[in-house]
Amino acid sequence: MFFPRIILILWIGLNVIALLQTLLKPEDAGGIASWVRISVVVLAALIYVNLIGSEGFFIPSVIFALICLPALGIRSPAIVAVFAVAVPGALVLLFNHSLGMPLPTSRFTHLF
Amino acid sequence: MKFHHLIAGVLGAAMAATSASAQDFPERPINLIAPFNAGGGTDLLLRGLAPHFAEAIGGDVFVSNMAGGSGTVAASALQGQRPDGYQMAYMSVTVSTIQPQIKNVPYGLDSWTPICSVAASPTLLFVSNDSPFQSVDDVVAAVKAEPGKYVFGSSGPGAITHLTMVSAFAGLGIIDDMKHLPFQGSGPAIKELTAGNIQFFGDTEILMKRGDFRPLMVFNEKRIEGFPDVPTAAEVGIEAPLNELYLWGGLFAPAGLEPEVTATLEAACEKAVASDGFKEFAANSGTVIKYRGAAEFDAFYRAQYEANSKLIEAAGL
Amino acid sequence: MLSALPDAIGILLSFEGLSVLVLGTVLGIVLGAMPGIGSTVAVAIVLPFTLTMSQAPAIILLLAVYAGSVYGGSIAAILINTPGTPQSAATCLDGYPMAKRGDAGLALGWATIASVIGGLASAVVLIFAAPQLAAVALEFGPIETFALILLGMTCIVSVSTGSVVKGLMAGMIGIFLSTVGGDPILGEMRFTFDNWQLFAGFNLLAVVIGVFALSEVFVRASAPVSKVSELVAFKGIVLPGWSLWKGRLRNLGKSVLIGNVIGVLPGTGAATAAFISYAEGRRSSPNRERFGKGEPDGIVSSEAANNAVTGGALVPTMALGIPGDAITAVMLATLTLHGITPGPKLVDDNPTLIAAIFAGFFIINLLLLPLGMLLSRVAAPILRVREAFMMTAIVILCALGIYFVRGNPFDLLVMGGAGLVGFLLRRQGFPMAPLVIGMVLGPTLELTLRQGLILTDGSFLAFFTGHPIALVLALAALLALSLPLLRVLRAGKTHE
Repeated sequence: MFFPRIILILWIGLNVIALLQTLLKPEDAGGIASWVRISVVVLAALIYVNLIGSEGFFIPSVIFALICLPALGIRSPAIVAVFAVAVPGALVLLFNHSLGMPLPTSRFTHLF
Repeated sequence: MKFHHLIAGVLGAAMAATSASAQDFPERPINLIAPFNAGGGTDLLLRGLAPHFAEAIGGDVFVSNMAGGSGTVAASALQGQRPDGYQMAYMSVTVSTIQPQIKNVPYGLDSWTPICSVAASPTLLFVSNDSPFQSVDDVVAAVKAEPGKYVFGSSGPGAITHLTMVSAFAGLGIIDDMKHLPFQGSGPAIKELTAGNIQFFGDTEILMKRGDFRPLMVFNEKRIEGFPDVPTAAEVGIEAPLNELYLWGGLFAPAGLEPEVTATLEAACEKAVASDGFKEFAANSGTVIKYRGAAEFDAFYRAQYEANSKLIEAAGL
Repeated sequence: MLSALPDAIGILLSFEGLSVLVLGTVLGIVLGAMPGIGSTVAVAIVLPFTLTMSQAPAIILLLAVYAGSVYGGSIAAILINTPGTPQSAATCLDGYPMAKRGDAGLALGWATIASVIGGLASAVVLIFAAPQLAAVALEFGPIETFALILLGMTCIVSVSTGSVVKGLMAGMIGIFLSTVGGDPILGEMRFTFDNWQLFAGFNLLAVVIGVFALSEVFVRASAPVSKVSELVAFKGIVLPGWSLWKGRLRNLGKSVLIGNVIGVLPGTGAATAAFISYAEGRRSSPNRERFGKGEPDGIVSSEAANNAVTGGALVPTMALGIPGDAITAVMLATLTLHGITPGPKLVDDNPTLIAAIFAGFFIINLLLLPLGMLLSRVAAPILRVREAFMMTAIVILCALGIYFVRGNPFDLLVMGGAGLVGFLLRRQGFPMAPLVIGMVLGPTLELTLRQGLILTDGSFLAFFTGHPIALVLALAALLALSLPLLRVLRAGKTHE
């Protein structure tokens, strides 16, 4: 345990210095344009990576794209739907069926 | 109304697809898990076996790598999977019988359905060609004369290379006078043996061939063909149970596999191991083939588990 | 070996040889340019195909994908500020600012030429100096390696854009993250809280992709989304003219040298070389003031070094049978599967094969230039899509790539967490490059430190009294740390 301990001690020291620096000269973090948008994207991404293991790769990818694209500003439902199905679909076809390196599949069928 | 039919149709198709009846096995690709990185000895072996296994079982087989924790990550992941016969891991003696007894892992003696054993490569203790040691007796004398000076290497704490060294030196009574220097894998260890920073290393024949090394002792029941002058651990004076650590490996599936599926997999394994292609691969890579069927392997595995628990105690792990 | 050259050329000019050279390089560049899929995954994807090929083409395919992916990583780094491979993380620092001000084509031009020259130089070194260099590699035991890594750690100071303290803190976080998992000497588990998923620690690639690629997506999601494509204007690679090279040649030379040396030493990889080279460039280039704002020297330092590693890593592989990194380990395994024994006798026993491999590697590096230009022309339209599509695709690709590293869904969670943490840290002004350096170098730093202490029976002082190479490197590290400090002090004095 002695190596992590050395690192942690150094880190605490740096934290103290940084704290003093911030107190003496406060900085601005830069505004967030839309709290709603960033929360949606972050939450969607985190839930997405959680679901791949249990629900497979294809379905969560589709759902993620369906949520993320409108959040980032794409309005047309047709384009969103096509992209959301085509991109994960192409990847699944490529890896599962051509290359023989299967991505996780859903609980319903082993095809995707 | 049409929607209802559609749903029923889809559900019916889905259910039909997922029911795995034994005579249709395998319906989808089988995953052979290598608990180490691509390019390592285990991965190599599985990739050499996979095509023959696929042919024997009449389906698709692919190798995936799940490295980590000297193989314990893959084993821990496998024990939680459904026993449907589509996932197996190639595990060695250390992963299946030693790690669970020295570490806190979520699997143990009864977590597996052993399918078949494939290889049993003996490990050899070797030194660099320009080392002054010609026999194990030289080593013991030198270490006792200058305790704390000599260093043996390993490919990592808990790996077979580490354990054979510990068993050997504990059996010779000099373990406390030696230093252990672990490395990340056999490659760096071999380099340091060549460079002289360590004096002893133990590994399989194929690793030994990579450099100018001389074997002093072999861990096996009897002397091996390639080196008839090299004594076994028992002959050198190491007593049981410390002389009984052999490196073997085989395919394991999670516990609770249906007997018909086990039989199918076992038969495919037997055919694959006996195939000309695999025999050629084994000759090329210096792998010693040792096939055992499911029942025989199960008995062997359990006996090893028992024996190794005594070895762990004796070696002080 | 020269006598075997005609046969070797014959192999390379066969259908199998040519297709492997061209397609392999193309595949490597494309896979390397996709964030989330790194060199390791790219090589893993082609590995099954090598099993059915003959000996030389199998190895050449792996080499082509490897070298191609190291170059390809720079494309994503420059165009979208997400390194396609960890080795290109340093390229973002100057590549992306340059692209943002409209010089994307030129930035890629610099990266291409630097990569080609770095790779070619390493090919020449490999062919002519492999045995001698291998002997040098043998001189580097644990203690020498520790001193080298210490020197590498001082790069953290140089690549900290912004506050040095925050950079050091990010580095410490990186080192600390790397200690999770098994103790390298004793094997006992640290910070795993009995979760077996962490027995191997946090997967490095998952963390790197998380803090670079995923956090970039989050950063962009938090900024106002413009109606027009935010991505940089890009029509194709523009090669820098000869006049622009004046004054930059010395930096190129040094970067190539650094890459070669680090490649030869086992235990360090392309990412380390890129960062050390970048730091050295920042310290000594005549254009050092502009580093971080889009200075070509920054791109050159990083890309020349990371491609120079590819040949260097082959030196211990071919001459000693010891893999220089994970990719060369796969190559050694492939050789074995084809019935060839790696080791000191490899070159003597297989002259045609070795000649084919060396010649092939040379050609691959030459091919990077035309293929790079061709592929970028093809890729240019892809970049005109709206940023939203690109970002969504990046998340999906990263998930795919990280899954394939170990086939373990847990790594995806790590990537997600790293992305969130990276995003929050970046908002507070913490640079991510030091974190990556810390995580990459941390394990080797600890391992070599403790190995060294075992060898010296616990005496840290003995590290330097008995090991001249280590002493020199440690002094260099001290110098690297103190020179910026002295410069600041001297500047302060002249203002009085």
